[in-house]
Amino acid sequence: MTVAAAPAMAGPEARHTRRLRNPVFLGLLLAPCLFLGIFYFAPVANVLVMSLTEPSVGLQNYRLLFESGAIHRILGNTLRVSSVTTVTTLLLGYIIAYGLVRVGPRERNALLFIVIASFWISALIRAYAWVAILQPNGLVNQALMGMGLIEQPLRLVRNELGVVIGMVHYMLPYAILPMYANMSGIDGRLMAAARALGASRTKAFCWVFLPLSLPGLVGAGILVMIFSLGFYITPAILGGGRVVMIAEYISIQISETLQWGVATMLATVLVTAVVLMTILMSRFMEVGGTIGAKGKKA
Amino acid sequence: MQSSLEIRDVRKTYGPVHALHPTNLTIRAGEFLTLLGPSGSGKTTLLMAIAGFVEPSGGRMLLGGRDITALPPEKRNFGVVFQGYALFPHLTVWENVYFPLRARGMGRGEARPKVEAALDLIELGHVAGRKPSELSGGQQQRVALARALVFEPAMLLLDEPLSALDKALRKTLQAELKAIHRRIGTTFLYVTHDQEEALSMSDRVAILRDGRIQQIDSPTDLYERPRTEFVAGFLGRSNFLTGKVTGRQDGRLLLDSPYGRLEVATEEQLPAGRQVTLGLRPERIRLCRAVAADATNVVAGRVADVSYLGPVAEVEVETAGGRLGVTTLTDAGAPPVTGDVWLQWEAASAVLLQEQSNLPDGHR
Repeated sequence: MTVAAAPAMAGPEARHTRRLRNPVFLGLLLAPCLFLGIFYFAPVANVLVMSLTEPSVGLQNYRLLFESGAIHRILGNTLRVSSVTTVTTLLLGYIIAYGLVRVGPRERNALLFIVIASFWISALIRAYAWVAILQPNGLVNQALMGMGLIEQPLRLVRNELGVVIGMVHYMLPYAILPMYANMSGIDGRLMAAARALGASRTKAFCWVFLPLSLPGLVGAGILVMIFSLGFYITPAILGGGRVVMIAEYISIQISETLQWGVATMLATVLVTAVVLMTILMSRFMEVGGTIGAKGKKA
Repeated sequence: MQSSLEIRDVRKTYGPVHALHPTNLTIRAGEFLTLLGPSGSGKTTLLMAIAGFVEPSGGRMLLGGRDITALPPEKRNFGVVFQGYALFPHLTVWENVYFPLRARGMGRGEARPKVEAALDLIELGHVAGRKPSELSGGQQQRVALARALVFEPAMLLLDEPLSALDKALRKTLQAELKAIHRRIGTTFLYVTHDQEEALSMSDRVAILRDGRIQQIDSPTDLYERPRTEFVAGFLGRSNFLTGKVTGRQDGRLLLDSPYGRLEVATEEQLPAGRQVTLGLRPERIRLCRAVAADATNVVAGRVADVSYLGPVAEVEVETAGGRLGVTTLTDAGAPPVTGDVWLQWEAASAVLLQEQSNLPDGHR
């Protein structure tokens, strides 16, 4: 994430103001702002307004947050699935990121390619691929039954397990890359020093590497959590309508039950949660940046 | 209790590359031994093999008679000061020094007196609560030293610990390291490529080149009695004079050379006609206008160049055999030396150097 680079942008003030007076630079800056203002911020503001005015002015939509059993269930689903996804992704991602910094340069390039290659396949295709793999007569169940390990096909899809599998798969690169960036900033000699000072491999890892990699871990966790909360395609397809998360529920309110007030209220809640977490994340990423830099210098 | 470390035929190969040829070395209990050599000479490989980070391709290491070759680093009980210190950036100075004690299962309370004693040793008790990034380079270096000594290691290994510091600070810390060594009596094994550092601190210096120990001796013996051209040239400056043996007289070898008749004091018995090389330090040569008639090793020459360096001047003299470098003390008010001069030195000043191929060779 580029948030860590922000302090480096503080250059000489004079040059900044001179550039701002130049109409070309000013135009280049204003054009995207204008575009985002008209096509992004205005609609978001409109969503916020609608959540307070649809169908009538008042907080009645927000009251549903406390009163509606259906919305409680949806929020519960969303939080549970997102949390399980985040924890699982971090666990697997940490192992892979750790592997990335420990292997030789050639293996690292191959591994990084595999990690990044998964960005190239759309979430939709991946979700359907998972359905094909996990369904009762899919690859996994047939293989297990063929080996005689199970009699009945396991229920791996159209439930929370399926949603989590699909989401973890989608999120892994987003967790691996920031954690890898953080870990490669940790001076390898620190682990050697810990060993030389009498710490076993395990103690050296727990007392030195783990604390130093914590900022990357927390940052990646917040990033995955943000993405997971608003995830739509993967839970909708792999959940098969049984595991409805907030994004899918909003979509249903808008296109099927036409309760735009409820939909915009939930959208506002989601956006607020994501914005708060982004602020939190930028804090952690900054801390991560400084600790990484210190590690290099020491 | 310190015990000696015996290195027996330890070697390290990376594929076809010999990082370290079979090496034998005994590090005596309580001594300050320096491994000195240019980069790629195998000094760091040897140190890391002793620390346990490089697995030797062959040979054994015995600490007080106990075989430690297969022990992992954390079981060897050696303190290591790494190049760049490798202090833990997320821990305070106090916690850094406490780290090795914690690794040995010691509680904070129990460790407190030891940590404080170690911080007192390096006079940094007042920064105990700071993080390493808040310290100067010299302070970080001292903390790394305290951390490596706090658990009373069997030996202290130092890998170019001063290389990142400026010259003045390096001098101070050299003196400090030497004083600490004297006070605590722990064996120090020090790796550096800085000759001055090696000479000023060590009890003994081992000079390495291309994965082999060339010579191991006290700093004085290394400088005064280098055995090879490499050692003579690596430590300070040296003139190399080649000649042919003509005979022996009164414990001296007589040589015929392009410089004229030379005499060198040596026990060595060499047959007449053997080609030899002498090492001669520039400051051992006397530069004079006139010489006594019975003086030995007299060479006529003409001053070609003078570099004034303050306390001394380096004079290049052109002779019949080639240029010789002479270092003379400067004298206030004396005019610079020019023109025709005589060079003269004692038979004991020059050293008979061995040819590289005559070295004891442990190859394979």
